[in-house]
Amino acid sequence: MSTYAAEHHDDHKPTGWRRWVYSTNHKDIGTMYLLFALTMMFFGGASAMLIRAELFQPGIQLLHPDLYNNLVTNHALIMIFGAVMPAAAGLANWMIPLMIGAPDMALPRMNNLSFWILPAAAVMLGLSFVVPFFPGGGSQINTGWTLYPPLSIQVGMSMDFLIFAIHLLGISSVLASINIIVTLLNMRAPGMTLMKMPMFCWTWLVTAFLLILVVPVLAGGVTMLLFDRHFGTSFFDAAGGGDPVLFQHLFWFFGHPEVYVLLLPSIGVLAHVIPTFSRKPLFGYRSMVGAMLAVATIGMVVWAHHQYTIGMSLGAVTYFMVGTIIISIPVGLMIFNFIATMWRGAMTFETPMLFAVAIILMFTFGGLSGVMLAVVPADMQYHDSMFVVAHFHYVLMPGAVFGLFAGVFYWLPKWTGHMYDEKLAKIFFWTNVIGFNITFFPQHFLGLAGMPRRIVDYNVMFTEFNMVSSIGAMIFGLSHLLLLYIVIKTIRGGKKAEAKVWEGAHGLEWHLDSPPAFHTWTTPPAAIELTDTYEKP
Amino acid sequence: MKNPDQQQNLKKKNLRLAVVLGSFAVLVLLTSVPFWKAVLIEIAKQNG
Amino acid sequence: MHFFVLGLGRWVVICIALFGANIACADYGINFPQPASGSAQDIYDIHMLTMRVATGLLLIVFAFVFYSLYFHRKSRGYKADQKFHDTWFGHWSWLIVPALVLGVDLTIANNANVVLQKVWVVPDDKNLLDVKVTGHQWWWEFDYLDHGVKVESRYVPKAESGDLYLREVDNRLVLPTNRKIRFLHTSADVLHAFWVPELAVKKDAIPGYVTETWAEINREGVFRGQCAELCGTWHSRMPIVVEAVSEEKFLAWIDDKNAAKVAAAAEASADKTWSKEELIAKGESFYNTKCAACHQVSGIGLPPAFPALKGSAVVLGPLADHLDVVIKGRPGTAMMAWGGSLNDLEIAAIITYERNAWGNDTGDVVQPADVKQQR
Repeated sequence: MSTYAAEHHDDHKPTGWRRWVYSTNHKDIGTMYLLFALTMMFFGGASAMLIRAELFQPGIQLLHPDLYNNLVTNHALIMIFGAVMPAAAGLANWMIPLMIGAPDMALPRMNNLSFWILPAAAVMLGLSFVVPFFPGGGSQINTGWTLYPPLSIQVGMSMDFLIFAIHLLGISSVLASINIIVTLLNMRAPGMTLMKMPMFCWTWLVTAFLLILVVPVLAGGVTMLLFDRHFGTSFFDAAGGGDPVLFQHLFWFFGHPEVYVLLLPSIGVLAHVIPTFSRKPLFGYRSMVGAMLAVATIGMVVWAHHQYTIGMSLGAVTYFMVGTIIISIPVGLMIFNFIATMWRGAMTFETPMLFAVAIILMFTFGGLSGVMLAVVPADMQYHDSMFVVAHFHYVLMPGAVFGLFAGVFYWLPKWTGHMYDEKLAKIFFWTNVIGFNITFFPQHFLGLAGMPRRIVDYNVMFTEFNMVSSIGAMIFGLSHLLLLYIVIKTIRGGKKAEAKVWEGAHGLEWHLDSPPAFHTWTTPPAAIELTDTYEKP
Repeated sequence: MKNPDQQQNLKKKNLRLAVVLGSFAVLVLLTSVPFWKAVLIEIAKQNG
Repeated sequence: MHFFVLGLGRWVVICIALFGANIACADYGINFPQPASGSAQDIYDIHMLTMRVATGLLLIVFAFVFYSLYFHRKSRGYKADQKFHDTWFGHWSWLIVPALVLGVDLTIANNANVVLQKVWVVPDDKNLLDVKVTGHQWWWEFDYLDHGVKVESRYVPKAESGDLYLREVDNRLVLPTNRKIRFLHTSADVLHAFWVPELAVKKDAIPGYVTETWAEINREGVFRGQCAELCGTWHSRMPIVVEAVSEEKFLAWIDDKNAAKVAAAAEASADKTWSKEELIAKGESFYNTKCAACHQVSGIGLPPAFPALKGSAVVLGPLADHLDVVIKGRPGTAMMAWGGSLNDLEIAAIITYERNAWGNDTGDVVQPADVKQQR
């Protein structure tokens, strides 16, 4: 198997801190991305636990309203920019070169930069949270992650920290995206055409283009906010001829494609996990690629469905409604392809597959509540209620986070060379999924009954479901400690993993040792290995 | 067939799994109490 | 294992205790409250339609997945069909599936469009009642433009509202039934959103914008809603309570309001010189309803957006500047111009109170006549 591992100084690597700080190795950088994401996930999770603890009962028990809103803001930003995106970038760094037979990413030093911006950004983000607790630190960020002016103009200096944190995070992800695009377009093994590329690479190619297109728009928006705050411009101030709604358009022009940025890499993971454990090629490779391109394209032009209540014209809302409903076509096709891949397969249910099945079921549910939300008149009721909170957690947890969990369990033996503890992993899966459903399912009812989102205190009529939701959240939150334990245990040791970890796995990465040598594919893979794919166009 | 020791082990394992799954079922059941209560209220409203 | 069971037992006790204790609360539901207007009913119907379609689709997906999970597993000895994608179905599914989904989409979009047209555009009606709804941090102002009546609506503290806390206000939005009402939404400071589920109109209040929604309430009753757009610290304390009454009762209520306004204006413009104690007593109650949401009852404010009045340079400084800030507001900040909505007596009382409360011992007494002169 390991014809490419034993060659000369493939395993030569720097030692000590230099190995990590100066690293240009895609595997090490991938590892750092993943560890960073794991750390941030616990920060974001802790803020979510505090939020749910506060909402356990009516009344203000733990958190001052501003601190509550500050946590709401931070939870979203940390989870999106700190946990999900870096984790997906970590998977990309680790797997893309292995999958396409490239020796490393195309731009290794930029790779180092795009990772090392992240800790700096995380510090900035952390400062934006803690600065108000120091004397003269100003007020807390109580705007939610959407940062809508004029409220965000009222906030103290912590908003400036946040704006710069967003700039840094944006730079980091644009650099990473450029690197991924260049790698995928230039570094594929001879003979691997675009339409033979593994699906995970395809999803990341589209994601990277999306990021490059939309992140600068967000950066522009928050920069204008910064100017409004300090330099007397009035981009968003109606009194100075500006327009508060303009910011919302800029924000959601970024924000809606961002949803697909979070989703697509996980869809890519599914496209590997499901064929592996169904022992059957991916159904409809071409239609997957087409559907993904359609999602990305339509997803760019339906942003205003997040703002149905701002008072747009009838024509505009009709367009955004129809556009949004239309997205269900390519997404439905993706889900169909996954089910068709399972259909008449010979399935086994290791942890990655369990997550994959959970994603298909729960993401479909979240997608369907999304169709309900797309209907403008009905959205007049759902908008900014807990129903929306339930909906997007049903989309993003299964759609993005569970996909990342599936990917981590799927490739962890490849990365570490050890099998993870299957029994513990299964316990993690069940507590995680059940905790998740107990947390978010009742929030649909809360929203329909009339509970707005982002409120720190609520009327007694909302007590029951909030209580259930908080109990679920504690189970859900604590279950991640088990994940941490499993990951550490696997890194430290365990049953030796073979090169081809899973019986039904195909692809170039399974032709390398587990763990792979420090430098891999220094000579391109042979034609015979290239034909070992799940994808049958 | 399996020897008694193995069978004992299997029994213990199955029991443990049953307890875990059972407690999950109880948890889901308990947390759905408000939902069923609300359904009953809703039905009562429709009839009266 | 043992600990796990023990922990679970504790949850069981907590659950039972808590769900048992809350049975008293009657108002809670799992769906929209019963609509009280035609458009809310239409919205309710389209909600139920899309929900049923979504549930149907979900069941179909679940059925296929669970069938596959049960029958197509290796442990049952099922052999993977490696040629499944090579059947006619595999070749044409990329067309069949989108076509089916498109059919469902068109069903939803068509029905939604019919409702949207009805709900979205305010109907042309001679007898339209205009209510201007202005969001403030953190209270609502309802302005009956045709009747010259203004209502300020604020939350009621828990001690007085009990189980209705955060769903109860001091002054309700009184509206007539069976008459088309146009709401004109705007904001004095940050974004807010007007939402009363029974009327099903939710619209953002945006500074510098006037957006509109409409409703025709078809039954009498009290309908409760809340602000639905994050508007800062006390976003949770912006309830909206609509009291729908018959046209006659509504007109009577308007007359009452106008009479009260005339009486208050007469009291304010009477050339009476008020004593310091009278002004401070009146000022305290005005201050606590009108100003305390931002500047706090104790005068310490919520800096930096809402500065403290205790020890403030403006409050302790020259009277003319203090009057100016209250009457004209501070453009570009959340401080609104109160000159339009408060009469001379109210402003005089509030300023007298502010200049003498919380250790601001200036000893100043401001008379309504001083305010009049400053305007």
